[in-house]
Amino acid sequence: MSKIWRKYRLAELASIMKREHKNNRLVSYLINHFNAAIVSLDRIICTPISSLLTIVVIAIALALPFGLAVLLQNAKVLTQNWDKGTQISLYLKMNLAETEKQTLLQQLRSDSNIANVQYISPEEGLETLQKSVDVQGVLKQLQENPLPGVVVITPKVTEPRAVDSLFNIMQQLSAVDSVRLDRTWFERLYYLVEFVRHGFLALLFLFGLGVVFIVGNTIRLALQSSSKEIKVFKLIGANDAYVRRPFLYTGLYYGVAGAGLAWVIVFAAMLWISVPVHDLAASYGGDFILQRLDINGVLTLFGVGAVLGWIGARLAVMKHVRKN
Amino acid sequence: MNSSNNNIIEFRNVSKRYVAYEDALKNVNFDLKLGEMAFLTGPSGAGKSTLLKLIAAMEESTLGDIIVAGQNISHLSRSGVASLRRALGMVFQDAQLLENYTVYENVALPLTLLGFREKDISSRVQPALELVGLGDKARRYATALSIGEQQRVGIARAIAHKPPLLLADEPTGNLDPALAAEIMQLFIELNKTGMSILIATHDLSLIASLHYRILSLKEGSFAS
Repeated sequence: MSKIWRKYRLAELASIMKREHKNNRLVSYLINHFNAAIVSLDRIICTPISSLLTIVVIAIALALPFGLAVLLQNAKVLTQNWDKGTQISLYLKMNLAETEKQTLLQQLRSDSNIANVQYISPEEGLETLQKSVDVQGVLKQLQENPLPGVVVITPKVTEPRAVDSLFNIMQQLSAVDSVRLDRTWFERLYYLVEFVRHGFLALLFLFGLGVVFIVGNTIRLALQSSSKEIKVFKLIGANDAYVRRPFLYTGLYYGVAGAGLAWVIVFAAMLWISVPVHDLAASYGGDFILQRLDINGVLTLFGVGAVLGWIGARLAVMKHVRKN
Repeated sequence: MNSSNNNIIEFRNVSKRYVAYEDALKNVNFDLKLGEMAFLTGPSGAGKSTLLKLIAAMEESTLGDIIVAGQNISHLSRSGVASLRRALGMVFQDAQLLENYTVYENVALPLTLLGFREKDISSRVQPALELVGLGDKARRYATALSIGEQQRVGIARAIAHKPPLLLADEPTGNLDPALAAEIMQLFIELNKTGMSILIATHDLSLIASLHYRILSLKEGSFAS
């Protein structure tokens, strides 16, 4: 064997050890990913019953918090409608000069916390009163209009504390005699929605943890049944990433498939309760249509499923791969 | 290592201790030159497998330096270990084949790990199988082969990526004498292509007639 040939062999070995192999690393990386993705899919298809059971359990775990999220979304739509009805009435001082009134209205209209300002003059107020209540006899005996001018404002803010703050500011206005706000129901509904929102987050955390453990356990079993394969791979030079990649894809697939099934479950449940909800709203004279999971919600569901599946697989595979 | 000395393996005062006060290898020094083939012999427990495991980074030395192709591999990172093993060819006593893979797929594994494309893989796997006399069994599953054939598949897998260094741990241990001689002849042919080969065997009768360097281990040290 020639000296040059020997040198070449030594350089070749050294270059492989330094990971400077001539093959395109990006291409091989992509090929390895593609292969791992196919192998993982094949692994799931080859064990249809156990895979389906895992997917169903993940789907139920995801459907519960996301179903609650849809209900929350609907509750928010309801509160938004009610928020529109939340108005603060400012009763102006009697005999308020026109310039003072105009200044006040201008001030209110330029306030960023106020969505709408409506002025009801004493004459308009009296006219409305005459139409709505049978007090014609009493009013005719009055020498002058006893009603003050009223400014009805609709706040932009919905959070009760912010509405309170706006209410207090309105009370301090010099042109205003008194201020009224009926917020009891609004507050109750707001805090109910907040309670449900926190419940959703708590459920998402708990069931998310459940998904991580379900996927983790499934991957752990898959790792045990592939222990010889992993051992051989490691013996011939597979790195940790190569070994764990198919299992990470498996976790990802489980998460995404579980999310897909969860979406179907939530969709079916919403469809099922939409008719009675519509009937209930109609009985109150409303026309409420139940909202379904919107595109952002669907994307979030799939994203959460994929991430949880991946985390579960990653946790299971981390210990096992290091052990070999 | 200074590569000008043409050593592919160097052991410098290497010791390996598995349990307290029991050295599997004691202050071992040896070199394997590029293109050289050598036999590592000794009774069971002499440290042959330990020495090969140290070269393949399946074990870490307790003391001393191990240099392969100019790089000290005594304390490699996990990715460094993987890179080293990809660069080597290894033949194991029990072949270590994947049962649910075909012969072709088993042999293709190291090439896949090295990032070869499919057409390059097939252009290397088939010649490797032809070399070990299994060119017609590429589509068979490893479990459908005899022990001798499985061992040859293991050799094909070890040489498919044309490694400069081949390590073999008792490659003929499970084979009858005729088949063992056949496998040994295969190693000689591979060595003629320039491959450096280190073979651990306890079968002295098999190598007695061969004119290659013999490194005799006894209780963890080279016999004088």
